[in-house]
Amino acid sequence: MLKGHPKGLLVAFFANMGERFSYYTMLAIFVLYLQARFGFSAGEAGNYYGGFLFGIYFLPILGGIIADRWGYGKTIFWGIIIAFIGKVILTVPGFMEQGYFSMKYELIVIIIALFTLSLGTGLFKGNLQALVGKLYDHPQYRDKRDNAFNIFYMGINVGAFLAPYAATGAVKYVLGKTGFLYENTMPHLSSLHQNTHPFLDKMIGTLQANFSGAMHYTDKIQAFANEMGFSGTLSEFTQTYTNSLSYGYSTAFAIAAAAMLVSLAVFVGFKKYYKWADLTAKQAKEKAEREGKEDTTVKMSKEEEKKRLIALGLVFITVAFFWMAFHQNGITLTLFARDFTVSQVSSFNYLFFDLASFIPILFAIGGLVYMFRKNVAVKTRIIGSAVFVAGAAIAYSVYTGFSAQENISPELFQSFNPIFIVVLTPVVVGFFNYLRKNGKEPSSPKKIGIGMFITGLGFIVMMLGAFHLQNVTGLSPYWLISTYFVLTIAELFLSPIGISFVAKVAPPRFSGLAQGGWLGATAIGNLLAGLVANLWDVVELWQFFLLLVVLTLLSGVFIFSIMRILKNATQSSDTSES
Amino acid sequence: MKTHIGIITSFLLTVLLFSGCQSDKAKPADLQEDIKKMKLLTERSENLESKKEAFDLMKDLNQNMKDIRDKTMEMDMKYRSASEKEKKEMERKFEEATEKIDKHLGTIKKNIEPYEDEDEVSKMIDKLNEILISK
Repeated sequence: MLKGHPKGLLVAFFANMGERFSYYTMLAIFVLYLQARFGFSAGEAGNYYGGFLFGIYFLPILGGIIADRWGYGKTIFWGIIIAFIGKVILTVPGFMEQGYFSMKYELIVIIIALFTLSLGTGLFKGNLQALVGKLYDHPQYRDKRDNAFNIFYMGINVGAFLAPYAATGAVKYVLGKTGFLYENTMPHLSSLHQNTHPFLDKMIGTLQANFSGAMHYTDKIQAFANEMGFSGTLSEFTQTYTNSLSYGYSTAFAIAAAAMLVSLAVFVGFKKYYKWADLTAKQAKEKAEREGKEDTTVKMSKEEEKKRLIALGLVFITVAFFWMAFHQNGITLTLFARDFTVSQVSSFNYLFFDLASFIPILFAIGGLVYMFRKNVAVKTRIIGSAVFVAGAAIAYSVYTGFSAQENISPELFQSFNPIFIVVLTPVVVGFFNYLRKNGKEPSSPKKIGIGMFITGLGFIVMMLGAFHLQNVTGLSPYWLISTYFVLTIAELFLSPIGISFVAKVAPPRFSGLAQGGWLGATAIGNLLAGLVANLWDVVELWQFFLLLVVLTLLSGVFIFSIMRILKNATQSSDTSES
Repeated sequence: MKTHIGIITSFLLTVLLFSGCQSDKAKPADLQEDIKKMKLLTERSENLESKKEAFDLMKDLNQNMKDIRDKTMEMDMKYRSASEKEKKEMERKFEEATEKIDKHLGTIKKNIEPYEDEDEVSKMIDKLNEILISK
């Protein structure tokens, strides 16, 4: 998969993987941390979270403007440093006993940390993409640009996939040392306990009057205290547990900060592999003048730049609709998992929901592929067989520990996307390679258009599921898994290829800004996702999914209708590059 | 080019308008709609004929109580910063609402009793028991 690619791609891959691992580790627990430490309600914590995400997606535009003048490598370097500082600041309140500083000061620290972190990410994220694009401006690598971004994209998802496990693992470890168990509902219960809730208390009383088993939050906290062998008062338990939990969350933030250092070490330590491409248009010109060589940077008229920027703008607008549909995974598709999908599955089906069994299964499948693949050395076949046997044995051993019926929580469905990304990237890259060898590889804009159609297909599956739901009490999880599978294929056609398209078409003096614009379009898509989700309770389920099908198919049709404009922009970029 | 940009802009506006139809969600939290829904559930509970119907009813009741929980918590937040006069008004309205909810829950509980031991229904009741204190 990496054959014929510059080594700089690997540097970007690992630097990005470290940063994304760090980012998602922090994100996985951030809302829970705010609830545990400050007693915030989900809504209050959500305001901080939303503001932070806004910064994360819009500051890359600023980062792009800076890098286009200052240089990509230098901006990325400072981005990592600043994001690292932000994460270090974030760890501070949680390592202190609650009450050591007033809540007001702790919140100021959190806000400073979040701002620093989003600024760092803004300087880093889009510009690393721009730098990868620069590597592939070289004639030797130009035809591999789309594949390169597919590989680069896989790094994001490996980091994102591992992050929640690292975060939860760190919290569990710290709590375990103080004799506590990790209960992810405790931040919410603590928040209820720390604040007065006259109306909620009254409503709980009303429910209890009719359903005797109904619980008050103090009952639940008491049950946890008993389970963990805590003998003090309820307030003491909540206080002690919250302190340990905050400490655990801060430890996870510290791991996130350490991951930034790994990212930094990779980026700085292997600089020689990308240094040759790390030049802004102005720097390239100055370098050529200094060395007395001809400036090979693409020269572009204002008219040409305008044409390209319009093409990019059109793609950004369309792609916002993809993210609108795709990011239903965190909103309505999770609600669908919670309310319309069976909450228990057989032990066999649970194999795909438990990481301890699913990962070995994936390895076993990988081993199987190498066992029977054509033109493979005997040694490779033997290794493939060994991986297959080991994977299958581990999966079976985990399987024997399952109960006949196991509970699945709705959030688990979200882990299928990063897993599918990692598994499907080599397949999609191989497929595009095959098409290229046969001279049939679609252009980047065509891939984006096809991706939009595939997205529509994913929601057609959901629409059929919604029809089927009229006859059953809960749907099989395979409906959602199939949708995630199809949406992931669409994502691989659209997202990395889109970034590649941006890198290819962006006028050289706006490379960073254009990547920032791509992330801005993602942010608008996220915003639209929330707006469309408002229709969830208003229309019938099948109508909701039909709306998404129609919107994504229309976007696909739109992309094909402007194909000439996009192709002209791509072709003119190819001509300029050669 | 102008046509294309026009198409995109209308496309974007359509979606925004579509979503904007939900503007009444921004109104202050009020339990009246939820009570209406619960009344319908109470009526459904009078004619339960199978465990599937009982299960569906409890599933819908859980959703109904979830919405009530969210709005109740929103009201709790507003209550903290309200003036004394506003607090009294909120208390009065809430008292009225809980009386109705109490009545409906009592009827549903009575009607669901024949199915309480059914596995799926029992699980739904377990969920209901924790619904007001869950996330």
